[in-house]
Amino acid sequence: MSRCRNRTQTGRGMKLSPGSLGSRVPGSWPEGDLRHPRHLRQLCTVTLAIVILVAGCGHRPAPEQGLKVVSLVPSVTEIVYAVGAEKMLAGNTNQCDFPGAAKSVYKVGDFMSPDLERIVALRPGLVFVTLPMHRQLLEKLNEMKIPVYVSRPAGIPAVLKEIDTVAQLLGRKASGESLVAAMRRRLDSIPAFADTPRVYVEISGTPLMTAGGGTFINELLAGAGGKNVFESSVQEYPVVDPEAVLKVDPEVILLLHPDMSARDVTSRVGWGGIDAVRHGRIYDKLDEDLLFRPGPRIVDGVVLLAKLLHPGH
Amino acid sequence: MMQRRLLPGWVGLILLFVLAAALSVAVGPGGFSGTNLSAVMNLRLLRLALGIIAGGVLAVVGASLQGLLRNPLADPFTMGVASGAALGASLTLVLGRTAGAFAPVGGFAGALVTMLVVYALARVRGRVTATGLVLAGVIMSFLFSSLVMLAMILGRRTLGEAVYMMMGHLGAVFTGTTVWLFGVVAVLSVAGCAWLFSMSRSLDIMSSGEEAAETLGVDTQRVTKTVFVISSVLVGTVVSFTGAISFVGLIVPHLVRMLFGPEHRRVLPGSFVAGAGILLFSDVLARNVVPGGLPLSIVTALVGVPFFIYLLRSRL
Repeated sequence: MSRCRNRTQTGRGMKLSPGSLGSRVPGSWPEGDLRHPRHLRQLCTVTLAIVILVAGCGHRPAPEQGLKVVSLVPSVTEIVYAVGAEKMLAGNTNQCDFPGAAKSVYKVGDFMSPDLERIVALRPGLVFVTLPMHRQLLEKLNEMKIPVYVSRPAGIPAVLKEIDTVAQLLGRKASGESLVAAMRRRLDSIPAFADTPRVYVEISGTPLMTAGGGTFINELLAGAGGKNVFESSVQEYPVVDPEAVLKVDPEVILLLHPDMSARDVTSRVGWGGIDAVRHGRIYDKLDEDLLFRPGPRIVDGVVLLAKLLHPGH
Repeated sequence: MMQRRLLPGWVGLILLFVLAAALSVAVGPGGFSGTNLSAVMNLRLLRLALGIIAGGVLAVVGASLQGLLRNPLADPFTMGVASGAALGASLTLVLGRTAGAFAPVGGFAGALVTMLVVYALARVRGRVTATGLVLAGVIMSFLFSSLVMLAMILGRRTLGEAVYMMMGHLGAVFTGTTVWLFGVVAVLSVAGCAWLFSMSRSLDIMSSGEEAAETLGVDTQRVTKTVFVISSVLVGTVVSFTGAISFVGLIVPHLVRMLFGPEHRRVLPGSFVAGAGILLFSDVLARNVVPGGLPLSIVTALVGVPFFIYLLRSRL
């Protein structure tokens, strides 16, 4: 069955080419070559073969089968899979790598620079984007009257709401509700902690960079019973002076970059007096996707953080 | 005339340096109170040392290159050497070689390759023209800046890392190992600057023309090669700690020549002191004016560009 599903996806990818020929999107990918009669004939044969294959798999037409969606947001791609709507997913980005099957979906480019023509050629009924990353793209999609959903959840409640909304848009309301209920149960199982340790999140070591107040990881820290020491920063991911870290004296340090290990941080000149260094509460090699992607796995992220920040519980 | 201006010139430069050094130790986002004073001082003194070495090296190398190549626009940045070093250092970062001596060696390799490529590109029919050199340097600088960006994106690094690598900063965090490594680089830098100083006489002769220098018995090939290799070692290793800082190497030597005249035995030590002072001063501004700090080249460019325009209008 899973093999069949893979074939359907490839089939979508291949069938898209004649479609793009018909809609005459200027310069759309292998268009130039495909105009050649020989290529066209080959393409027809391949398409026919795929249509037969798909038919052979015996898919029953689902009620929402007409809807094709493209996800430019890795976290939304995770939601699409989590609510079981992956068959509608006609395209995603190179960064959409979870669950594993998302890697084999047709790629419309990078998360940072998706290709408009590839998106349009898929003739999607809905495109998932995020801001500020896809602002220009969003304007163009609006001009073309292609329906767009902007994903920009600011905190954990917003993620739960977004899962509900996305599930409804994909006609998977029931799956969405049960997923959200399960996530809520896990979140409720996190106790209210008496203390809120000061946490320094390091996202780069050269220069030192951290996450400010408006970021998602800031909300996660709050949800896990911690306080971001650079919460007051106006920038989302500001550069920080090594001295400033001494001043705020964090009790926990989270290393979210591969440059340095907890041991390297311990040996930093002048950092010996920092609370987290003295008590050995520096954590490295964390799964960054759990903390940066506002999707279904966010609960795992909060639970992970809660365990790190409150080891006694 | 020259002798009269010598003493006030030195006093001025040293005052500038001492003031900048005092400010950079006294002012910082960590504040001056609290129990962690000694830790804050450790950080500031290291930053001070890094600033002195970086500013001194960039200015001395700039002065030597300007004299050697008879080109008022030559400096580690316009010749693309700083960007080449930044690329070398970025590659070691992206390849996960942040520990040990990889970054300084990468920076040196990048700097040396750039220097040779730029020189080869600028050499048309056996002659190196001033415009050819700067054009080749600027082109390579653009190329390497793009490649730094490319390496950072492919290596899934943050944009901030790329920006700070291309625009410089003194916010390097030293660990037990890198502080030793920096000690070695600092000793090497001082030794390299002293070596360039010992070649002052040859540089003086070279700056009056390559043919004249040969008739006066200067081995121009050897001098050129030596200066190139020393410059690459100095700039490459320094940039691996600070990223590419612009304008210091270009403007400081001109400033010092205005005070002391063109003789390298005065210009080189003067450039070291003035370069260190100006870089420290820029760093004080960069880290204290905006919360979180600015890349250093923003400040050095704001100061440097007006001066550069003045130079362009009046001297070239």
